[in-house]
Amino acid sequence: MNKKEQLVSFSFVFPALVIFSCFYIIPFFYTFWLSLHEASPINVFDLTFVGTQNFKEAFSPPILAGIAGLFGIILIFFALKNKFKKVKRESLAKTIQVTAIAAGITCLFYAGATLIHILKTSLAFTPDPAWWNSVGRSFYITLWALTFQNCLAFLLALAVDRAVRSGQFYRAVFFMLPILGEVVIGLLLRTILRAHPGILNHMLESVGLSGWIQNWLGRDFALTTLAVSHSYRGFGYGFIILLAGLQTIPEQLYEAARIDGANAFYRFTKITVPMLIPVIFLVIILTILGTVQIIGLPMALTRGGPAGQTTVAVYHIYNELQNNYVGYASSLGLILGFILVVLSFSLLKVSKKINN
Amino acid sequence: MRKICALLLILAVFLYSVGCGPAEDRGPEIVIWHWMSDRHQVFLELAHQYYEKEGVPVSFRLFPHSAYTQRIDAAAAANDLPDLFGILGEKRVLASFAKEGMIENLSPYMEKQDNKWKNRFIEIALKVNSFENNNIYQVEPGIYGVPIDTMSIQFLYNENLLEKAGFNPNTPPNNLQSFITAAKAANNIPGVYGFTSGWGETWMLECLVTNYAFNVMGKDKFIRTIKGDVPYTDSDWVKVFSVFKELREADILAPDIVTMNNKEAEEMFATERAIFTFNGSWGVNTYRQINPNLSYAAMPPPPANSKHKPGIWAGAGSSFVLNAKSHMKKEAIAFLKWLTDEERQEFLTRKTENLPAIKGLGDSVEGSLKVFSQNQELFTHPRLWPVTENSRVIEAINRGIQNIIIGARTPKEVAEEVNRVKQRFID
Repeated sequence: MNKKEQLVSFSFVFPALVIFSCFYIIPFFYTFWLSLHEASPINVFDLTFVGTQNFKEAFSPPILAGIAGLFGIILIFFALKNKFKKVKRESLAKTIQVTAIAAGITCLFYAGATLIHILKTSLAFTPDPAWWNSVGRSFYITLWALTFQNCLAFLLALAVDRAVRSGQFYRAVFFMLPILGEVVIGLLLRTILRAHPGILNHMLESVGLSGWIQNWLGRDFALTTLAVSHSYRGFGYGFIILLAGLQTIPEQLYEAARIDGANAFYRFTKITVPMLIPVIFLVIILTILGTVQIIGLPMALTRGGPAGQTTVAVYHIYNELQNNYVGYASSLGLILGFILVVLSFSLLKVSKKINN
Repeated sequence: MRKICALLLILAVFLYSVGCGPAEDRGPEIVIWHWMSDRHQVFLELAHQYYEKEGVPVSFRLFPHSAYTQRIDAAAAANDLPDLFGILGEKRVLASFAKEGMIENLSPYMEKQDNKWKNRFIEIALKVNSFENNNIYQVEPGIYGVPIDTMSIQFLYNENLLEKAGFNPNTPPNNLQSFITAAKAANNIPGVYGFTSGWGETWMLECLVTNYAFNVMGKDKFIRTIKGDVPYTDSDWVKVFSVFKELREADILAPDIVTMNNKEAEEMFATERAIFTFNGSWGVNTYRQINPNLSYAAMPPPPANSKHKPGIWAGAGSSFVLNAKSHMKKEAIAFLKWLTDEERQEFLTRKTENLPAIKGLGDSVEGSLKVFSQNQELFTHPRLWPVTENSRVIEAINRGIQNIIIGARTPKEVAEEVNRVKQRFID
């Protein structure tokens, strides 16, 4: 390819490159840069470099030192075991290897220095409890979504798959909820679930079930109510994907199994489930990513209350931003992103292993 | 398919040409950004009046309240602020804009002709937009915002319900115990609760906590706590938090009060399902719309003891600041002067049912709105205090109070938790 052709080719890629840089790459590095800074308490425009202080606050210095040390060891181990040999260009593989060793040594050095500092100053405050509690709440809701929401989606997809004639109708109906948006659903459910004058409690009273009346958004139920509400809103996504997956399974497989005398349970466990594994893992990953990042629903349903009991991770980050803790909010965003990336890749690995 | 594409192309060209058509050329205009959706139509009417009178176009642009601060921050970062705009949030935010030289010090304009413009305003409304000498923010002393209305947040009671509960509506409760007794009497009226408020919006809690902190320990000790000289574990703070425990134990609070937003609480009070509420003057509009026959009056927060007087949050409801780099400075100042003259303020008060920002309009404040201009001797506002509490400490207090109300923590535990957060911040 001559220079002119290269230029022409590049000109086709250039717009996408600009958009990708502006909306993905630059914001990522900007967030990372922000996470190393903090706004001054008397001037919100004045950003001061604080190094890893925000991460120390989130994890506590000893835990951060431990994470850095572990990360350093992993990097060096990967580099020495030549795990980057898959990279086609040898020079690039070498550069990555050297960079990984350098980064690993830096991490180990940082961990050591922090530990010495902790021992000298007996500085060992606990990780930010509000943040980790909010992460815990996000994962509690995720657990509900993974079980209740996805089981419901799977059952409905199976039912609709059998009745393909009315499939389009059900697809439209079940997908209506995700389309409505978190805030709309949140406000709607709030009207139904409020203790007074909540529609649900009123109905329970009318049918003589006064004993079942609860403060659904109160201390004992708020988080579970939020989790169930999220599952109710979100099962449509899983339903659509699982239904599409079910419809790709060749009918001949079932017919052959039927001829061989396989009953419904056997067909389900030996054909449907194995054939759906990649789709199921896709739904699991999308559910985790979608659920850990909810914010609109708790905002509309409970405003994060009562007493912060439904303040989930992203809502916590939003609160920190509102309080002008830009750097800390950015560092929490990076931590959450990292957790999600690790989880997603681990699930992909497991999925590949099962498939093989 | 080809036909559809052609049709779409024609439509796109049509829309583009319509969009790019010559707009009515009214010359340079004063651009104002704000978040006050309830006042937007009135602002447009005033802009029209001003254009008719002075020939200077004024463009009010409304942004959703939730996105307004981000919008202003982004414009500030891009050096693209409008001529006039409002600043939401703590005083340090106003201070940041002033320190960065983004907003104009209005003192020279206000003090011209022997303080002619400055003397128009109610003192507290102007003070919340001012910085004194040697302020902690290190901002050049002066006035940085022009208030266009004021507000106060008070205890309100439904006169009919109070009477039904067996109390004289002309002599409302004057201490915490009598308040609790009166609110408890609501249990005898079916479907009525003693007290409601939008405590899901935590700043309403912050407001009441500071009112009682003034009452229990006095302003000086309260300020010393913010400065870090008095710990939150001090017995007076435990007493402040205990007020909420008493309210909980008396069983007078509406269910869901800690997740209720202000609009829901307003609706509850307006539909006569609660005897007492705690709300700001902006609620008058809602009350009138929901129940024009609602009969209510204001009272100061019922004191928990007689040592000190409680505070009442009041001050500038909304203010406009002037972009220091505006090319329309002179015109913007002239417009602000016009907006805050007696005739316009009366118009705003009448149309928007907000308290005026200038003196001498007591007569134009009518009916229900009048109750919010009472108890002025107790008026205070965080922007008037010499120091501001850290937002995380405020959040810890608000969350702690919610925990007391739902019975998850004791006042002492909350005091310790708040103190821990404060210590962390001080360190």
